[in-house]
Amino acid sequence: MNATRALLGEYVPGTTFWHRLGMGPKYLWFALLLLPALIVRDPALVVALVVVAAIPLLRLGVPVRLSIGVPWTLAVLLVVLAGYHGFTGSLATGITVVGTTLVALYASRLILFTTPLPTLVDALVSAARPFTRLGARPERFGLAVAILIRSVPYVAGAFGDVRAASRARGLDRNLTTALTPVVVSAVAYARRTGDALTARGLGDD
Amino acid sequence: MIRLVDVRVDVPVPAPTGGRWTSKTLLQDVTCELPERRIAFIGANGSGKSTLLRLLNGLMPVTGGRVEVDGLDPATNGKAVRAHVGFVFTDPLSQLLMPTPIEDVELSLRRVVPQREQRRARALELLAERGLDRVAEQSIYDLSGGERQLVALTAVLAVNPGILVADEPTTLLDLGNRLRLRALLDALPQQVVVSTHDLDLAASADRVLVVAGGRIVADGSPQESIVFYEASQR
Repeated sequence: MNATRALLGEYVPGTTFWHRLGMGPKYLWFALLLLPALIVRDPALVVALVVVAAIPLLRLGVPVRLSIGVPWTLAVLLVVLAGYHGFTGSLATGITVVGTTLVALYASRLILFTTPLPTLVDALVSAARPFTRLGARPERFGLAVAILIRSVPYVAGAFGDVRAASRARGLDRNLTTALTPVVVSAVAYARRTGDALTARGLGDD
Repeated sequence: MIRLVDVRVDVPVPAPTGGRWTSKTLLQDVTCELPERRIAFIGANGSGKSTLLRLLNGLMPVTGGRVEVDGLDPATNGKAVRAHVGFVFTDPLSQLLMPTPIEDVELSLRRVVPQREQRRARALELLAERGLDRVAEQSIYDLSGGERQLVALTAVLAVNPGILVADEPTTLLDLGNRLRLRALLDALPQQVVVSTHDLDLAASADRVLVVAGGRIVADGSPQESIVFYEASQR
């Protein structure tokens, strides 16, 4: 499974209700799920919102490990977060933090699973157009978000690649020593992406 | 017409002794005009081939001398030059910015086809011309190396550049895909400038230049230049 699918998900062609829904209602759904979780911060509410966010994902016909599954690296992070808050006497906060993260992840995945990336970019460009008079460049903004969607899972996958290479060479499994190659890989990827953008004239506008 | 006049490219590098930075010369005394339809640059790894190609669309600035592409300087008219010069990288994954082939070709077409539906239809048409319509919606990570390179080429050619520059386009391809890409490049109406280790690809060019140590050390017919290059590697 490549890192893109593992973390954020990729567009899956389909004809479900969510596929046919426009971008405006999808973003509204995203806000309706995430804002209460962020503002109210009630653990019971957040757990309910996680379930509500997960249900449409489970009905898309996407394998469960891709729809609501969490990459092990993120799972470890969430467990550590919850454990920290539990240990410091605030389990409710731990549940809220982890739950809000899952709400954001699932709500994002619903958009990405059911929206072709060009449509997503078009919607972002349209949303940014009113800000043109303030100096905003809508096309560049849309492109930046599209590149971000493609890049974040790549960098996450780079960590797995470095660990696999270390194991293959019988080297130390120290997480810290894996960090430098991951950073170098990420910087190299950023430079290559920048070169590709420049070469294709994207961002010249 | 591509013209290079007394081009020099220096880049800062850490000094071997550590601490300070020094300068490394990647190209020097490069002067040539490139009017031929098919041009190939050959040379050993690190000879300066890729650096030279990157000058042609402004990816690399010159330290001295000047570069002209149809009268335009890539350093000061980068946007205009890049609209005219398409660039294909060695590794197509470096170049494919979108998750699927059709989305990547659509990205190229955003500048020239404003309507989403028309853009999508045109992207599918371009992919179909290269036999890639069946993989149009697949993840680029699920494509073979040859398919990725063809998608990258399709995305670059979608905006119909006048010149195509390809940096070692066949290096990562197996024999079958190398032959296929070679035939595709040969059929293009654009001027094509390639750097390559594939001497069969170079042999099909109208003119071959050999780069060594940052200089052009041979310049002539494919036969002459390839013989020179092979002799220099023994």
